[in-house]
Amino acid sequence: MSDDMKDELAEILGEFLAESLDMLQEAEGLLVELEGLSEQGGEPFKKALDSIFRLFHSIKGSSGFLELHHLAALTHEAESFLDRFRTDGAALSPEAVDVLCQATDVVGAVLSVVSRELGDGVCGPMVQAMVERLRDADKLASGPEPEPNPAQSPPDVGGAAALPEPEPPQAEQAHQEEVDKAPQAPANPAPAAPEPTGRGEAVAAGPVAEATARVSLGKLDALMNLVGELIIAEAAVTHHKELEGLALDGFQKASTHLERITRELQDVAMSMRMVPVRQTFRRLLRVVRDTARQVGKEVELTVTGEDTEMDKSVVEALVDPLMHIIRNAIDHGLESPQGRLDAGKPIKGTVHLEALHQGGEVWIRVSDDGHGLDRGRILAKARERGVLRGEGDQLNDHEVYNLIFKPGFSTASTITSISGRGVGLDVVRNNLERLGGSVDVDSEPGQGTVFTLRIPLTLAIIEGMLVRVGTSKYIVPLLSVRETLRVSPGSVTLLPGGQELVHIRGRSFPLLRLYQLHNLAPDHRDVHDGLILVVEHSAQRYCLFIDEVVGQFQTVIKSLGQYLHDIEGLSGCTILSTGEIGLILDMSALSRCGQQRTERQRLALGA
Amino acid sequence: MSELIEPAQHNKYLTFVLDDVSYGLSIGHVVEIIGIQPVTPVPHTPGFICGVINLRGQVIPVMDVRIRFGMSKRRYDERTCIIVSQVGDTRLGLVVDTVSEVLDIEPGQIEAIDQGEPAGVETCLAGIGNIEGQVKLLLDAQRLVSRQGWLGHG
Repeated sequence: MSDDMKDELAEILGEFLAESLDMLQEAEGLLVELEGLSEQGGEPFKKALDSIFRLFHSIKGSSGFLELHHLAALTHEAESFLDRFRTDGAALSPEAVDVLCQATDVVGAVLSVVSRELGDGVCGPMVQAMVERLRDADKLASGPEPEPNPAQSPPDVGGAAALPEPEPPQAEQAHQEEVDKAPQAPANPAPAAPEPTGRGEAVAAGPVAEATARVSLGKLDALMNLVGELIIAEAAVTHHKELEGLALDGFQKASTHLERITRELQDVAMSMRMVPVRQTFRRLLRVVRDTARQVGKEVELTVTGEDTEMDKSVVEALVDPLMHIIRNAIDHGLESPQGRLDAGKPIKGTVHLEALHQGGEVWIRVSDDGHGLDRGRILAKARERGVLRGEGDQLNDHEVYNLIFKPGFSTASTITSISGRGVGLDVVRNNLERLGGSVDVDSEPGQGTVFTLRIPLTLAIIEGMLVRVGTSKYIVPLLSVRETLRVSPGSVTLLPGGQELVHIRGRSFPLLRLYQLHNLAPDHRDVHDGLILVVEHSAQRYCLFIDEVVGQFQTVIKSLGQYLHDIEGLSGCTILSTGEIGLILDMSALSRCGQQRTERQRLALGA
Repeated sequence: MSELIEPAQHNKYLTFVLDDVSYGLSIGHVVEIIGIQPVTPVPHTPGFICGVINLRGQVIPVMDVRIRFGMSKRRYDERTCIIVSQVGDTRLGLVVDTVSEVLDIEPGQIEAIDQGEPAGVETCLAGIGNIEGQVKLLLDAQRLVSRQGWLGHG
């Protein structure tokens, strides 16, 4: 095939693959709900079955005229199997749902191959094996019924491919027509061999979708970058030094107008990247189901806030941490069925997934109604693993529970094949912090545990407080700032270990002198001469000693580049309207830095 | 590296000076040359990293090559230049005393050298060029920008 033809094929397949993967994810989510729905029966169950059927049917239609014969055969077989329950009224067993889940896995695998090879020729054996499994399950489901019509086998596949199928645009139109039609009963009960195109099989349509366009994430990224640059450039123009002191009413009005348009542009660009968490939560349903089966517990996953929207790339990055936490909750958090009965709890454990907007962040909570965290056991393990020195008596419960995130806490004995492939909660925390977010855990002994993930709404722009120490300027994420104040002389105590505490209204907080941490020459060295910034990170408060607060701005985050991207304590930089570069402080790393520095001092003093 | 250098650019080196010693950097790695400008220091970096600069909206890290090679720090003046280099995905500015000319140095005029102890100049050298009696120390750009050089610099 010539390169041009290859490119064209890749483009067509690209569209198909993107849509099919979306549909597959939806189908998977529905499949997991199916078991629960089948107990109730009635309309919801029917609707779910119809939706899943429609999804497989779509993929089948497209794969037919794209000459992906194996994929067409597989989806066709899955359709037939689904019809046993959809139209023949057979009872849906957990085993049947298992087989359907496997089928979606194989479809996913084939799609992967297609994206690499631009064809599914090599998928023969894999597809054949799955088709066999579907047929076996089909026989079980239908019981003593006549053998499936032989005409439904290979010739059918050929039939699907040889259909007088029009070019893609027309088929898409057909799909659209389906979606636009009001819900109708299936016109064609039995999946007869030479099937007409999608138009014939009218299936119950979902809610009418609003007009959408498919845009590559790359383009959205580029757009966000440009908008970021625009904001910086706009500030450089409207706040140019050469304009200082000039009375420019007309210019002022024009700048304000420009500023307003730029902000609106930014809002729209950001909103383009927002997707509801629903899809991601759906994938987690599958994880819950599989894990529960593996460890022999009964689990129900409830979800709230599915419509909460998040930046698409952030959502993607959360899948692994959430999977890990959920597996953890089911494997270790929930008691065994017997244990639950003994505790007077319902046999079915509950894992609750919640998403909500809070301030400029999205909060995702994973809670379970298991036995909760045991303070004593955590302290013992922390001491054993060298994570904690001393007795830990001075730590409150919340601090003890959060020890489980320390590196080295989870080891081979706690990592089963379920909850980790050598992945610990410390990796989860690292991943979250790399996104500028945080995670912490809380618990009620005997009642359950809740993990809270906090992530900024967007990765590109933050509300920042610009502060100055000497000649250096830093950005502190506004979300972290609780208070700014001056303290009176004598408010600081130096502890024997080298750490400093500052006392504010009867409470004490660790004090970090930014100039010491960053080796700067500050205006002030006496705490009472400068400013104190009270900041909070992961529910822990500490104080930063700075010279001055310059202002509050919407800050476009720029990376420090390949060479400096991993400097501890910094999460990026920004270009100020003066052209200077402000470094953005990483609040989680900062508190760690402070602790480490104190440690080094202590060691140096031989204490 | 080969995709950056067109055939006509092979063997061309940008030469610059540190104290009285002349160095050469393959022009395939040179993006542009600018005069010294205000540098924003970045904490927790070795002494030879001056910080970052704002180059028309781009944030570029800057290395003081003298300090990298263990020489004394020199006051920046109007002849001090920053060579903006690109090695793979890494863009790095190199502060040098002054920039000289672009020279053609054939492979035949280059003597290979033994790699010496880490962190010194020797590890960053690709060879020694000899043009009409003038010696130019040719740099290995990859090694120069490698983060391995951070070890031992505290």
